[in-house]
Amino acid sequence: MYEDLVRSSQRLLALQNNRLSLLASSPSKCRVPNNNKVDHIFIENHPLDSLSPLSKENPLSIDRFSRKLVPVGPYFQAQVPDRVDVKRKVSLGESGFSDDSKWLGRQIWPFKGSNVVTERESIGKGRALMCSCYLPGSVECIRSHISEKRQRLRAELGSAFFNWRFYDMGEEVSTFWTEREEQRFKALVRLNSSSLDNSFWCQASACFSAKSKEEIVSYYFNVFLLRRRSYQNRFTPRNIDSDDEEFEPGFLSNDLGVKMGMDSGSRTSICAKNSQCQDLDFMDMDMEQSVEV
Amino acid sequence: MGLDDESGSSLPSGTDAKKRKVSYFYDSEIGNYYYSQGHPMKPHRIRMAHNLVLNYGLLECMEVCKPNLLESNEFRVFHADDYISFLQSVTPETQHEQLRQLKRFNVGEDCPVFDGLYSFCQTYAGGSVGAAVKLNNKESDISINWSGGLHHAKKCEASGFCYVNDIVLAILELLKWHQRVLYIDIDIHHGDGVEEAFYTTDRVMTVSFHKFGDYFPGTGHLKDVGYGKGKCYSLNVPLNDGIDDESYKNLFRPIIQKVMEVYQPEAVVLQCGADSLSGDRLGCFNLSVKGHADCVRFLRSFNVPLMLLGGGGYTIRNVARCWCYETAVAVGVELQDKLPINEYYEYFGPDYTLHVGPSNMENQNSAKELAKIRNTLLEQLKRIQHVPSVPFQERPPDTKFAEEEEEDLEKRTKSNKWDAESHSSESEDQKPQIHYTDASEKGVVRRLVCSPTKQIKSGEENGIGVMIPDHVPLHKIHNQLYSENHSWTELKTGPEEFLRVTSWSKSVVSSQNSLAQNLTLCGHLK
Repeated sequence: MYEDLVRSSQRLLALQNNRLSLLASSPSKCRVPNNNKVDHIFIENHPLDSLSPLSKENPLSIDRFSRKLVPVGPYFQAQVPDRVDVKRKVSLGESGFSDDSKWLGRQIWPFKGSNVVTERESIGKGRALMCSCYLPGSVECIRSHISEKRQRLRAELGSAFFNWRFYDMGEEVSTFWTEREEQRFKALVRLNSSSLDNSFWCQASACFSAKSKEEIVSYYFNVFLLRRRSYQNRFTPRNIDSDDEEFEPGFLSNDLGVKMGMDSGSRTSICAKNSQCQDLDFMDMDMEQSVEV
Repeated sequence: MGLDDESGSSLPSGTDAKKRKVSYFYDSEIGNYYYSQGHPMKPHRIRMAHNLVLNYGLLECMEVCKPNLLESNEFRVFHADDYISFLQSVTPETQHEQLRQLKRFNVGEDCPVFDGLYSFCQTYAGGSVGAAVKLNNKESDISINWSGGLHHAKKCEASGFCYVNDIVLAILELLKWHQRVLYIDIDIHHGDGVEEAFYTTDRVMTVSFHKFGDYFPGTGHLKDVGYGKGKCYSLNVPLNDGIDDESYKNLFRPIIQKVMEVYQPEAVVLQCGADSLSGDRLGCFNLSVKGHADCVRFLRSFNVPLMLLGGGGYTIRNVARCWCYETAVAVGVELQDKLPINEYYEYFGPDYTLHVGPSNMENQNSAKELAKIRNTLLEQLKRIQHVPSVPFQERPPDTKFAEEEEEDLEKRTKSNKWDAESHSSESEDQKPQIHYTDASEKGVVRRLVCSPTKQIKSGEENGIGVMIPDHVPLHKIHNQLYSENHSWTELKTGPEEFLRVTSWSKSVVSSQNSLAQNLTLCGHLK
């Protein structure tokens, strides 16, 4: 369809050459524009030019930047009917339901059989101010509270817990990885030092051939980055970052990275609790297999 | 189709200022899509937001749905055939064989090819279209899809991390049932994909607040107002670095207030890109979560069907905070600042609080300039006719009244007549007193009683019969009455504006004939 030649203007050509990249902070890309797409461009006077408070004496700071025009034509705009189709609305009857009811999606919550006991006062509530842990605020303290909360949610949410893949959220994901695999992952990150580039993920896929790319990515966000933040919160609290991929050397070193102030004994006990989440006995197979009509 | 829907009665949850029925779309697969190494867009943030929402107990206040996946023919309602075919077929392994197409469709750099790209598009677009259908069916007042809001995608190409434009698809769905849709974009980047798609129509008004000047995507100048039939139906608010909560609010509220009055949208879509927050990895504004959420709060107060979508946001811990808080604003719940225990708790340290304050960065937007921009846009809004595509009703109250009122009253069980003529002469002197009974029950409508001249006591059935053009729904009238002075018995409007009020018979309305029973009150207001 791009073979249909239409008029294009030199001006549009110039404008398209200034295409910006969202990742770069300044105009940098020069692509060969696809002139054939252009039907026509509009160059209209601003309707308020005569009345506008803007004047040459008091320009806005934005006036120093060039104006990139909006293309107009069949390759740009959506097709919009002039009016709502009243006949269509009426023909659907009193209920007025759209014939696209499949778009309503599958309701996961609320559902029959849920036994949520959330009291109104607890909606919007934050965490308790105090806890009775030996070392409040330590990694162990937090992990145990997370585990308790997860048990409660599992009981309340029923099958929704699995629909939302709670077993695929947070440090819980590490229960699917052996300690050796976790050490290997960390070593791999260390080898790639300053940032994770293409080669890291290729190496990771090769190294963990039994795991899918999705599982590796899940481990990365749910466990690895989470532990990195945990490290930062305790050792570099003024310099936290969840998003760039230059990892702290202290975090990557064996001594601090894995243990994080916990002994392996308590970690085992938490893993035992967590493993209950793999119990799928009351997962409603019907809900999993049903298809919305 | 009932009268309810033609005239758009108030929302299913009624006129309660606090409560709204909220539908929230979430797909548990979303978190594991991964753009590419080092890429700032991380769908994992949506999973984090969802976990926070659950742990704050917000489930009790809303319905959660898994979206249906959009199919290729459904994408083609907007997107070009060959572009969608390309998205369906390309994979990281085969992309090197399609270099020409990668270039043509702008895929490969900002918008990389990744595993599951097409199903990612099906998921996030399915959520937005589902959200639209919920509003169309009046099953909810507010519908939410944080995985959507990818506003840069164009008809024939990807752009700015966006592949398919779920917002355009959702708005096209809304347009099946709503004559006018308002789109507002508070992402730091200009909402170019949506503006472009609807640049030549007056059925969608697009309003975008964004950084302008040496910044992606480069469009969004103040003077970009639309084209052809769409002229004056695009608004752009270009801003500089460092805008803070106060300055933003002083732009957002007056502009949107005017837009709501003049355009009277039947549905609103708000793209809540979180890269306008302070401390964003790519952004350079200085909004707090509260300041950002004030936009949601303000729109919610209009009581118009509202869709909330995600968008940008590259400091993922702040994105999760923001969208969790905005979910709470939608359902009408205040959240405690100390975060509850959740799976991603450590992401939010070392303070583990919901709200993060703005920084001390300089606000490069002077008050003078912001005032100029605001005034220019308010001027632009004056230029568009009130409620486009429908002639403005200017007939005086006296002539039409008598006949219509008689016609109407004959059908009523009560037969008290109203002397319309005597009132029209008095109306100029006295402020109108308006009272009406609740009309929110689906399928049942009640009589709206109003008088331009005389106070009506609650429960009285007497009143002037009114006819309403079918485009003006009750909840908008209610909002005009309610929002003006937080009291619906008093109005402050300009002398040239007319009051339109609806009236119904006290019966189940089920046919189009019932429209004839609607009558309009028109009168001068002081």
